[in-house]
Amino acid sequence: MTNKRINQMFSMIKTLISIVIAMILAFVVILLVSNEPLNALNAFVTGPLSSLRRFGQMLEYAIPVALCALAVCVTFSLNMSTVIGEGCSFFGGLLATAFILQLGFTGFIAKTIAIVGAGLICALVAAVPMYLKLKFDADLFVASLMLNYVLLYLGLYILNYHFRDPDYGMTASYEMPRESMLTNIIPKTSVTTGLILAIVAMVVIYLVMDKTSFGYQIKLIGSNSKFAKYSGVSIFRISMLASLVGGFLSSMGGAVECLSRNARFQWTALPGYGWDGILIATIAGFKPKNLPLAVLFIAYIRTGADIMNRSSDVAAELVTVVQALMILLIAAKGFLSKAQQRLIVKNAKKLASLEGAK
Amino acid sequence: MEPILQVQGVSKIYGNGIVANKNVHFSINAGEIHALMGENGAGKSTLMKVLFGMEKPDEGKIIVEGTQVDIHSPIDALKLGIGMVHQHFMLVPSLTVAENMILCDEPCKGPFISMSEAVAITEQTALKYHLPIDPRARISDLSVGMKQRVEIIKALYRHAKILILDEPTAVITPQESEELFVQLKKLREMGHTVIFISHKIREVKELCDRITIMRHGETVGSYDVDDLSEEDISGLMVGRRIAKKVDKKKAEPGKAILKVKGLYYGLSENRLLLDNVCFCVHAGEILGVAGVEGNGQRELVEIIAGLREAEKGFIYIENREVTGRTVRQIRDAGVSHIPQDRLTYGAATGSTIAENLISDCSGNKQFHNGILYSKKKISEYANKLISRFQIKCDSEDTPVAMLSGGNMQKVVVARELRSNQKLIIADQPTRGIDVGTANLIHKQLIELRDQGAAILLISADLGEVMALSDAIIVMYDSKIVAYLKDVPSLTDKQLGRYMLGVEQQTEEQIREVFDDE
Repeated sequence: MTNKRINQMFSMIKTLISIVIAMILAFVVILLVSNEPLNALNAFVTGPLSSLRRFGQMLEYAIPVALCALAVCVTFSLNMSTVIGEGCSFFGGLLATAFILQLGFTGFIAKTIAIVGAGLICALVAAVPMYLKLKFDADLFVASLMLNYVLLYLGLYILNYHFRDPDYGMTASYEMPRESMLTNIIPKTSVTTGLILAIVAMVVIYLVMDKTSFGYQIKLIGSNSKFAKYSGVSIFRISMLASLVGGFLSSMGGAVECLSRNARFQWTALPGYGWDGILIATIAGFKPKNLPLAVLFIAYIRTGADIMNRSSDVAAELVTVVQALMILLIAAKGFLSKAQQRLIVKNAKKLASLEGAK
Repeated sequence: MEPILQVQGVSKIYGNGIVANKNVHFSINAGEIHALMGENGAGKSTLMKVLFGMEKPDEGKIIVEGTQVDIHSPIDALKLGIGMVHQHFMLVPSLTVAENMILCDEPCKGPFISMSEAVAITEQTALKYHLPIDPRARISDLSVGMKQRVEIIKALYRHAKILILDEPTAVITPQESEELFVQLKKLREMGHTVIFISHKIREVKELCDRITIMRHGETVGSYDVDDLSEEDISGLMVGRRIAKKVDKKKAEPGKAILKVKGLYYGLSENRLLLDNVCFCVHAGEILGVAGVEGNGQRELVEIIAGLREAEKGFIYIENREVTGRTVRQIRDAGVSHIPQDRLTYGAATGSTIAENLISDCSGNKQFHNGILYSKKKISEYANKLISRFQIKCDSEDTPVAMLSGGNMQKVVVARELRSNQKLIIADQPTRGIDVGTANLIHKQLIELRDQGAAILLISADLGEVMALSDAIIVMYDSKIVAYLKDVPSLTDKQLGRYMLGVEQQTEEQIREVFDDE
């Protein structure tokens, strides 16, 4: 067995252990707070798989967050944290709705224009904090975090002044024509062709990250940016391109969601897909090939919690606690692996000095 | 007279097995300026860290004013009256001078720090030692020389009677150096003792009373500075070396590949790191750059490789100007670069060997099937290099971090030497690695030279420079001070004199290295 194999197994086992610990703690909490713990547990664990409708509910949640998590896989591989995904998913949803309402026609071309158009605009927006970072050494995290709120309030302004239906009871856009929304593929659920889009995106991003020089250069910058520069990689170009791709994917997550469920755009706050994307990508170790499992797992416990909330006396917030625990443990895993790395380097140096002494 | 500080038989072995100090003896009298000299890696810094409590010695005694002491931390050292001014200042840049002065020992009024008192303390100390400073100035606004002064005042305020200055003149301008010397002499008059670490013999001759010379972790001896000539000092520092033998034919230099013309760097900081550097490297020739580190070599290499931008001057590769081009463009012009710091610039340790080997040509068609990478083609390519450079590893998928230092360096060298490069910049190519790997790298370099590559070899190891080079330039104080064409008849003593600035060739002699057709 090679060193690499050992490392891979090591990190898989660690992720599994943190998931198991978090789940066990969730069960303990259920046992403690519930009067009917078996019922609650049952709803939590088997709920999402108990009917096609519930399974569909799981997929509905999985589609937008999968796209947002993909965006995070790309941008976080640079080892620079941009959290613009949240704002982009919101703005992408809004812009896609706006495109549909503004275009004089319906159908496949309208949907394509809406999703791609929104994606391109959000890609440019997502590149702004990266540009500020690379050109003016602005703090990427703060710049992107703040830009999320700019996008939220700009979006709400656009909604209120241009697309709001005054006859509707709450803040919402005009109704989109059915033919311009994504086609339903599982009856009795809101699972649409968005699922196919998400799967295609996962395959494409997997290939880009693992099989092209663009993905290789992104990872090289993330691994050691000085080495990347020394090797002749243009940090500016690659980082900007990665942000563009990230913005596009996040926006697509929001757009797919908005063109799938409700005929009206109703978000008045940030939807949280960007944050969930970071969470899921972290669990997947920022590797697109691990993403499907991570997405389904989070979607599964989210849906399970939701069902438990409805059919027992345990609140759905429990799952937030579980997620937080998992991230804590996985982040701790990151900390441990750093120590492991240091040990390895030290060991290597020791070996070298032994060889030198010979 | 009773020495104020004595070091007896101190040894220090680092965790990685490097013996930094071996049975060091050393004593300093009160009220003298004592120079500590030695080449890079001679163990000066380690010895000073031991004295300042930053490293614990494995053997030996330290005696301060007649009593044996254990120094566990810098705080202990300060209590004993030992203060240190580091080469890289230990100051908080965003705070003012006064705030830095009182750090850890804040004068308080109730729960609040009394700023007026801090300012008063700083002013008093500055006045007492004739070291004027503005207590309210922010550290980040000060010049390097003033920052150094703050460090000195800070040490004096903490009642340091013995001041250790670690290469203080390496970072400041010549004018500031002059001023520093005046101040240090004043401190000597006031009864303070100074340990002065330097590479520059002239400074030591000007300033110091006595000198201790170190070589390979041992003390060679202590002398009165007036008893030694500059030649004596450089001879004692360099010692006698066993010349390395490398088999090679006589070089047949072809046309000039690299031309460097009038290169300047550091003009804006008012401290020249490169001062009108001109030279040529020809096809089929190894030009060695000798010199004590920190005399401009690093800047020179980084500018040629495109990692840094020159402030003035021109660089040509095969008569095409490449000044200010990107690393990509320079690499495409046929330049490869073995960096001196392999962990920072030479490799991504978390990535695999294969990934490291293709880093500079990741977009190359030879690794692709259509637009996607071919795992097979990359593996084949990597394995070819692994066997050619005898890299010991499980497979090409092993992360570089798992390799020993020597094998890591082989990965770097394999990537840089693999194909028909026109110019190879080899910056300390064999530092810190085993003899076997070093020989392999030397052999590869000579082979490439014979195939017509131009090689610029920078090395702090005199033996390596003399064994490999067909001609040598010596850098001292940011300038080229000698161009030596007849390497076989050169002795290390001669080279040492140029390296330490004892001797310098005439302008005409130096100009010969730049043949502008």
